[in-house]
Amino acid sequence: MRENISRRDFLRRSKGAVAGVAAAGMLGGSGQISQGAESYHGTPSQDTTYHGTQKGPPLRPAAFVIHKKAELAAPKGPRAVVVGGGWGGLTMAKHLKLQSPEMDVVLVETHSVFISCPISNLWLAGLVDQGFITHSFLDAATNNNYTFFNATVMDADREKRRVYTDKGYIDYDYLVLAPGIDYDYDAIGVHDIDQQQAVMSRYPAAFKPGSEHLTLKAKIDNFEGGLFALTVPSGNYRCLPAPYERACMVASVFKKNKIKGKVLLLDHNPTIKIKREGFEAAFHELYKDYLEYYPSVSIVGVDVEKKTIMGEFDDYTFDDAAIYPRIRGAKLIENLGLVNKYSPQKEAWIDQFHSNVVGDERVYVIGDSRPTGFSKSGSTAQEEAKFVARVIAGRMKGQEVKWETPYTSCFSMVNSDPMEAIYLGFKYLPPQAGITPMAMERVVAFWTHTGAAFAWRDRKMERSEEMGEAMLEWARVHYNEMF
Amino acid sequence: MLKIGRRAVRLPRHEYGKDDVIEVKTRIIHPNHNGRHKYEDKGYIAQHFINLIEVYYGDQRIISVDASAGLSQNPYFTFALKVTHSAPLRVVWKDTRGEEYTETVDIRV
Amino acid sequence: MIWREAITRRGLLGKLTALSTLLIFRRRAQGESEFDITPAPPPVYTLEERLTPILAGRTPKHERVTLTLPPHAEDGGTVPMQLDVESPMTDEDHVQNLYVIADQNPDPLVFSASLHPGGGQLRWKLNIRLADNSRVRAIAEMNDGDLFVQEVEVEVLVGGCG
Repeated sequence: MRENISRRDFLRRSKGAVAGVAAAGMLGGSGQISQGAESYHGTPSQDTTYHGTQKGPPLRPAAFVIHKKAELAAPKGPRAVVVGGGWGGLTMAKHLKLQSPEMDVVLVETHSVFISCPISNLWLAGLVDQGFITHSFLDAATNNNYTFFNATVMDADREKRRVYTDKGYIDYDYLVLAPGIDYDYDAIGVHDIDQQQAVMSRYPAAFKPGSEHLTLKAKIDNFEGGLFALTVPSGNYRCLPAPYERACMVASVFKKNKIKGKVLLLDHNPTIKIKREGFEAAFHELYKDYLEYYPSVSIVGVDVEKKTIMGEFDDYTFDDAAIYPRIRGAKLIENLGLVNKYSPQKEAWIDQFHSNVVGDERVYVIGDSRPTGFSKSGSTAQEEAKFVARVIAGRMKGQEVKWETPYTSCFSMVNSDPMEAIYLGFKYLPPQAGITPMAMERVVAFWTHTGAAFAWRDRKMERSEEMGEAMLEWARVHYNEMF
Repeated sequence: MLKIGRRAVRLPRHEYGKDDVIEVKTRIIHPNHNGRHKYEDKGYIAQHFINLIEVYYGDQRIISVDASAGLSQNPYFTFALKVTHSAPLRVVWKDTRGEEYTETVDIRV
Repeated sequence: MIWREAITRRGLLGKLTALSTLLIFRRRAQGESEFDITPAPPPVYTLEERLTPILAGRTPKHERVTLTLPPHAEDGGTVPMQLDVESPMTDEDHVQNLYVIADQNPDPLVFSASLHPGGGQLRWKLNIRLADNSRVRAIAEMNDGDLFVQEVEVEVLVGGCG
């Protein structure tokens, strides 16, 4: 038994990881220019390869330890613990059981009720009732033959294969982390903890379902007029079209209730980041008097008292707001020492072809804490979870499952009366390994569709009721995949 | 909505005096099409970008940037400026269609 | 100057090509955005085509220029860049021309700039486009003809579902 890793042992391991980084740094190219400057070489590249081939995060002992076993029945087979009951985690729990019926699956989730972030914009505008997006974890577990354990994960010891919750520890054979996101208020210039708390509670982002959504719903329902600010953050934020969809939905409420109010949509991006034609058309044709869109607004501060969002160039005063700050991988990933140090959003250090933590085939990270450029969306998380469930089932039998690119399907409601939606679906190209030289194809893909590379895609940017109905059907099918 | 050509030149919010180095921020709303984006199967969205940014401090042109389409959409340009005298600071943007946009702020010491 | 001629000539050729292909139609999209459609993208330039006229046989020194870019750019369409050049910016000693080159861009020359000593300290911030993982070079040409350079490697995290 390796009960304890000594401090020296730990330091040695950490040093090993650092040495690995330094050695890899020697491999950089030289980029020589032949003509006109025989002696002008580029400097060697730093080792900053994002998806590196180093050993992975060092093992570390758990800091938050509870010396009591969680009250769970003894496992009847290999045990998989899934942490996080969002779209990824719920799909994972179900599909692990489908792929390997002998597996004992436990889903650990800190909330006791599931509220869906996808479709929540429709609920905010009163298009579906709360029951449509609210579900029971107990039903999910009962219907799919696994155990729901309502607890909060505090730490893990990957050497012992033990995960610690506030209600005792659980030993695992496989651990799947699907903890989602946390907010990064520092990135919008709100550094002071008091201010962060004030912004978070008074103008919640409402991208982590629960109280934030209830607060926002009340704000929209009770809005009496003026400017209602919504923001679009930088980076790969959760659900790229959601802020634009939400702007449409909130504007539709003002329009319907004849409120003298306008949505003020402040976008960090230079243009609408996704489904631009569809959203642009909706903004102009449906909400011309109810919505103002400002691109390239990088937020440098929020004054809660003065109800003002400070941009780098202009200040925007609002009457009410839901401020979506930049996001990052869930803090649990950082607390467990699993962050890829080069990830600009503190996401996990995983083998992106199999989703396991680099160097540890017993621990996997899926969903919005993954570092790959896939969309942080429910649909993508489900597809990914199904694939990773097959990876784990395969590895239990000593087989390696061939990597597949996920595809994603994504509807956005842009009109509420009638309910009209737009659609985008695509399949991703393989991830960029960072060590391969650029292929011309990638350049073309990039310059053709700024920001991402797709194998195929299907776009329906002309809003229609048909797509509106399809969106609700999409939700039912995807909920069915979890409950 | 923001139209092409909407622009901003911002001096620091804080006080400054003679010989201080201040940061001047500029930005113009412009699609900066680089000509390499496909438009459905009909061809490519033609080049249309800011290809010249000039800064005049008083009568003196202090900076002139000849840009390719390698600047981002809504070109952003910030520069340090040593304040030597009171004078208008004029920023001029020109694009590939020959449009010209000007914004002037006053530097006072 | 050699580089300027080279660049201008190429630029002119590019413009002539674009005109001769003729604009098929102009489309007013929904909203404000209006754009022309052309059958072909603009020409691609090699790194050497862009770099050779700037160097003009000179070898730049790795001094005085500090180029700051994120090692991992999360959006290749908007990569924040800071450019510092150590120079008193006096009549006797100043940066005369400034170039930024992104090796892997279809047109590697991001911009060429000329400066007058009146500006004082040299610190610029711009947002640039990177087509792919790329070396980015900033080259400063001083009034006495000396060249200084710094290169930075940037990995573009192609991502999102834009």
